[in-house]
Amino acid sequence: MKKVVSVGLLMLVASMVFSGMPISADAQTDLSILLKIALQAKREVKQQISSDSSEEIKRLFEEASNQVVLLEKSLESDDPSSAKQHFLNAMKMFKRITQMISSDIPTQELQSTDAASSSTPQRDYSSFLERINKFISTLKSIARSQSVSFVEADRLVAQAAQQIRKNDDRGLKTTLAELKDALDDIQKELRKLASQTTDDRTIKFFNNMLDRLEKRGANQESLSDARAMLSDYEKTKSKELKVELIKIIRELYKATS
Amino acid sequence: MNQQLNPLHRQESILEDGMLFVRTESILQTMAKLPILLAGFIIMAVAMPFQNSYSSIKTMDLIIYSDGSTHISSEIGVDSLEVDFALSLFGNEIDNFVAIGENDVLLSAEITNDVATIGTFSSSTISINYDIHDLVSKEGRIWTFTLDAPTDYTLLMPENSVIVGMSALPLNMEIVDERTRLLLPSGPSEINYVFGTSTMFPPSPTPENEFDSTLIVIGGAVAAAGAIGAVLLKRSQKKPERIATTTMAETGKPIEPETIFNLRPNLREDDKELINFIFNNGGQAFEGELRKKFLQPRTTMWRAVKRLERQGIIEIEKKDMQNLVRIKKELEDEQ
Repeated sequence: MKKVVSVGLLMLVASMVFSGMPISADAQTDLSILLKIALQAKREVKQQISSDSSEEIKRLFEEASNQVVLLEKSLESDDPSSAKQHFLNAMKMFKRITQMISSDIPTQELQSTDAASSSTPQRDYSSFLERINKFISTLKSIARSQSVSFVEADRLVAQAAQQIRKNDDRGLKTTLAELKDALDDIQKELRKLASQTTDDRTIKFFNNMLDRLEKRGANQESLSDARAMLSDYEKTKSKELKVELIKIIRELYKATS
Repeated sequence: MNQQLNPLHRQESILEDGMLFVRTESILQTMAKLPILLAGFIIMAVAMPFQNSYSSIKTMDLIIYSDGSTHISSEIGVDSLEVDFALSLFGNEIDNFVAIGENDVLLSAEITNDVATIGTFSSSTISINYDIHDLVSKEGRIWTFTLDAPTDYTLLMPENSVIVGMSALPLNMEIVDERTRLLLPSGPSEINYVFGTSTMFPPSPTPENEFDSTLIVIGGAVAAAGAIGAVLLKRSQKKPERIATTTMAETGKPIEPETIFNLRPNLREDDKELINFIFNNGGQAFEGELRKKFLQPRTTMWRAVKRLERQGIIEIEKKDMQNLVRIKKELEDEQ
């Protein structure tokens, strides 16, 4: 009988553990997108291959294309596991081909290709500006109810965008440095405003917690002790009291759950 | 060898200092259950982190910029009674870190290496935003994004990028603002991409729909006058050279792709695919359909269509506020 109780208790503890763990849902891939990605990669790689490309590259491309055909057939015959495998095989080969072509291109040519695509300083500045814009909009969302001015930051962003268009690198560097300072100032201002309201928020939060505990039927004596402590905290803003209050609230929660 | 056990309660009487002992008759039985109790304690110890830490990532969205930097925004559920929350970041090179608590309050945060300690007290959900430079590397033309994610996440690829390698199976994909957005599963994944050869140039800041309408009217009038003048001039010199066969023009059917390819041997491969698709679609297709089919950004597709128009292969007609692209019934001289 006691063994049965012990095993039962053990199972209870185990269930407590596993109920706390997040349950992972195995989401299903929409397989048609695999074909779209593979076809797009094939198109791109095909354009990179020229008559001068090595036989190895051409052979690999044939194999990869074959994998794409097999992927399409697997989808038609509703065979997801094969489709996934063919997709991964094809993508692995396309990557290999691109690597081989990339290593074949002389450095000078590669640099000029890059210049036309993405990694020119101009494009880098554009990315930087894009990120800064996102950062500013995040800060604006925080500051919407507070009197923080974004006029200077907005002006500098517009100025930087103009300098990027005009290829004014020297001016741009100065503007970006000024922009960084302006954003630092805004953050400082926001933190200052947040810290001014932190104590109010903390007291409000403690009060809410204690009210909730009262509704849950927590021990009245402990509750009144906690309220007295909170009253002291309101006056002193002592960190120790805050920590002690958290401890008491945790214990009361545990006792009432 | 004949050891005798003296039960504790028997020894009790020997003690004279009045210490209180709890009498237990079943100490041996309790000891026999020790392994079971021990196992219970071990499980409890394992359970502690799950019970005490309520943190869980609710959403995670990533945006890759064209310079390889990545923006991460995430919503995390935290224990509102914890004073601080230590968040593991995905790298050391962090910019523009912002932690927002409930009611849009800016939370204090301190970053040490790849851990951000955030003052989360009284917030049960926090929102994290930051830029990171550790997730994308570049070798030759290939950019590689690598992440071992704790949860499913969305990944917005840079504009004009084409995926050429992938180690994980995406759960979904869509086009958002001319960019590919993937839904990827938790766990390790590597994505290799290049900036497309067909989309090599930075997007035009003024695509067709953004032209000033006055300019279009004036430009159109000038172009029309120029075109009429040119036609008249040509006619006065010689008869126009008709490339397409009369039968095609007479039947009213679009020109066969093979004929186009023969007459325009320098056509790009991607343009040939466009022509094949339009032909198989009854000789016409909306530009939007082409974008969806070929997963190309708006500006890239617009350029491709304009290129084919310049070569006299297609004509563009406005229909329901959209561009209807139609293969011509006879090829014209290149403009």
